[in-house]
Amino acid sequence: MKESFFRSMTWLHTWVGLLLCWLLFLIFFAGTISFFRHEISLWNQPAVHNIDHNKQQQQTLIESGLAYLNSAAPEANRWWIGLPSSRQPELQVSHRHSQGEGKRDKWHDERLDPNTLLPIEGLVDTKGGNFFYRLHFDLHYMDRKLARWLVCFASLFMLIALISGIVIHKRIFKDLFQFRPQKGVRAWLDAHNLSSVLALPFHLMITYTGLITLIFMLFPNPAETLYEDGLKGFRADFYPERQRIEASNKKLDEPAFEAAFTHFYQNWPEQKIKRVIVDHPSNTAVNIKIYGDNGTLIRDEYPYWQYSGTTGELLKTARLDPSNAEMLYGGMIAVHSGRLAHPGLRWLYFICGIAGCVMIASGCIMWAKRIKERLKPTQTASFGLKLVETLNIATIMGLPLATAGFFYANRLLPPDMVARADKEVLVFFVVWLATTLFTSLFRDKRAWQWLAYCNAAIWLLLPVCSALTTHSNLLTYIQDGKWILASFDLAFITTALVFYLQAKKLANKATANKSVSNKRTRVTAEQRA
Amino acid sequence: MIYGLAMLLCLGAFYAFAMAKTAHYKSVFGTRPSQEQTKRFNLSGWIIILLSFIVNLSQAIGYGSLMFCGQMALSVLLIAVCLTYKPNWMRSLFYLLPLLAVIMVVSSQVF
Repeated sequence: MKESFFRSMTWLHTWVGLLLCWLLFLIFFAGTISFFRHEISLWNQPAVHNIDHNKQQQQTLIESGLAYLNSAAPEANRWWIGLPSSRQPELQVSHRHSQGEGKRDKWHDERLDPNTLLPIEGLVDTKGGNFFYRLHFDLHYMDRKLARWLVCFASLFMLIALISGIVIHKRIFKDLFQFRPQKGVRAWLDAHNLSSVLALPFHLMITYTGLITLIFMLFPNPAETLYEDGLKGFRADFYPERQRIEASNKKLDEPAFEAAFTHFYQNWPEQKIKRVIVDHPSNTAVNIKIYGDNGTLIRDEYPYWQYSGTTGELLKTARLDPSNAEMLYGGMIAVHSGRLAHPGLRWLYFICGIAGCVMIASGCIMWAKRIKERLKPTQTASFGLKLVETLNIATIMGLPLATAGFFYANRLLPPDMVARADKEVLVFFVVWLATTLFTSLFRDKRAWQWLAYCNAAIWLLLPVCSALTTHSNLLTYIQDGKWILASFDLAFITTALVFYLQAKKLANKATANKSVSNKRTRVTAEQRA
Repeated sequence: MIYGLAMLLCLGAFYAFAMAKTAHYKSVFGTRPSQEQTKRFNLSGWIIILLSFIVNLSQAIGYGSLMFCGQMALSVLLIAVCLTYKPNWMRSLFYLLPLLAVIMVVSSQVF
C-alpha cells in the first residue's frame, strides 16, 4: 500500500506539475515582477523621476486636486484623485468621460507635482507595472474570463503539485541546506528542492490565496443561494463602493465638498486618505467617495465613506469595522498582493517569488533531462521531447529577454507615438515570439548558452540605455537619494551578472560533458562487446 | 532596525540547524561533531528561531509573521549558498553573527 501510494504521488507530481508548468512559470514570473508594480510604473515615466517627496498636507492636496479637475474636466462623469505615497510621488488626477451609447467610458490620466501643484509635463503613454500585473491573471491577448479560468486551473495544479511534492521529496527537510552543483542531474534536483523548501510557506500561501482571489468566480454557489439576485446582490452588499450611480439631468453648480470634508475631518481626524472619487460632479447625482489608507494592516479593501455631493451628508460607510469573514478574506488577498509591504518585506516577497520561478524552471528542466537519459544512443528525440525542450528554453530564457525588451521599448520608442503603450507590450511579445522561433530550431546546450549571453548583454546595457535617454544615471540616483530608481539599475546589473554566470557555467559544462559523453559511449561500447 | 535584528537571529538559527548536520559540520570544521554538540546546535537553533519569531511578532502580529516567513527563506538561501561555495566563511560566521547581534542591540539602545 505504502509503495503504491508513493508511486501514485510521484506520478501525480510529475504530470500535474508539468502539464501546465510553462503557464505556471509565466504566472509566477509576472506575479513576482508585479510586486514592484508601482515602482515599474515610476521607472517607465521619466517625467516623474525628478519630483520631490510630497511635503503638503493631504487636505491641501485634495482641495487642489478637486480645483484642478473642476477647471480641467467639469463635464466628466467621474473624477479620481490618488494621493501620493512613498511608492508613487505624484498626485494623480484622472477623469472619465462618457462616449455615447454602447461605448466604454474613456479615462484621461493626469498627474500633478504635489509640491508645486502644477501638471507634470512630458508624460509618456505607458502601461508600466500594470502590464505585468494584468499579465499575471489576464494573460493578455486573451478573453478575460477564459484567461482567469486557465490561471485558476494552473494554480490548482500548482497546489496539488506542491502538496504531492512535499510527500515525495521526503528528504527535503533533512537535506535542507544541500546543494551540490557538481553532480549533474542531482544538482538540478537539489536546486528544485532547495528553492521549493526555502520558501515553502510562501509557495503554499501564494498559491492558495491566489485561488482565493478568484474564489467568487470559481465557486459562486454560496453567494447565489444566499442572495436573491445571486452574485450581483452579493457584490452590491460586499462592495457598496462599486455600485453604479446613474447621472441625473439636473445641473449642479457647486457640489458640497466643504460640508462633506469638514464632517470627515471632524469625525476621523487621524484617518489617512488613499483616494477620493467624485461621481457625476456636474449634476445632482454627485457623490463623494473617500477611501482610507490601510497602511501595513493586513487588509485588502479600504475603509470607505460615501457623502452626498448635494447636501454633504454621510450616506454610507463600509469596512470601518470589518467582520471576521471580511477580515479573513481581505487578509488572504492582502497577503497575496503584498500591497502592505515596506521595501524590506517587498524584497523578501520578490526573493520568494524568484525562488518559485527557479522551482518551476528546475522541475521542467529535470523532466526533459530524465526523458533524454532514458533514450538509447541510437534513438532520435521524439516530437514530445523536442516540444518540451523548446518550450522550456523559450519560457525560461525568453521571458527575461522579453521583459528587458519591454523596458527598452519604454525608453526608445518616440514619446509622441500613437498607441505607444500598446507598442511597448507588442515589443514584449515580439521578443518572446522571436526567442520561441529561435528555440524551435536550436535546443541544445549552445542555445541555452547563447541566450544566456544575450540576456546578460541586454540587461547590462539597460542602465546605460536608461542613462542616455533620461539625463540621470545610477550615480545621480544615489547622490539624490532616489533609492527606488537606483535599485532598478542595480537589479538590472545583478540580473546580467546571474545570466553571465549561467553562460560561463554552461560553457564549462559543455566541455566537461563532452568528456563524460565520450566516456559513456566507450562504456556502452565495452558492454556491448 | 528591529526587523534587522530578527533577520540576524533567524540567520543564526538556521546556521545552528545547518551545523547540527554531520555532513555540513564536517565540511566547515573538518571534524565530526560529537553527539552532544549536535544536540546543542539543534536546541540553540530552536531557541533562537523562537526568539526571532517573538521579536518579529513584537512589532506587529500580521506584518511580523510575514516578515518572519521571508526572513526564513532568505536565511536558508544564504546559508545554503555559503555552505556550497564558501564553507570557510561559515567558520567566521560562528563568531561574527553573535557579535553583530550584540552590536545591533547595543546601538539600538544608544541611538
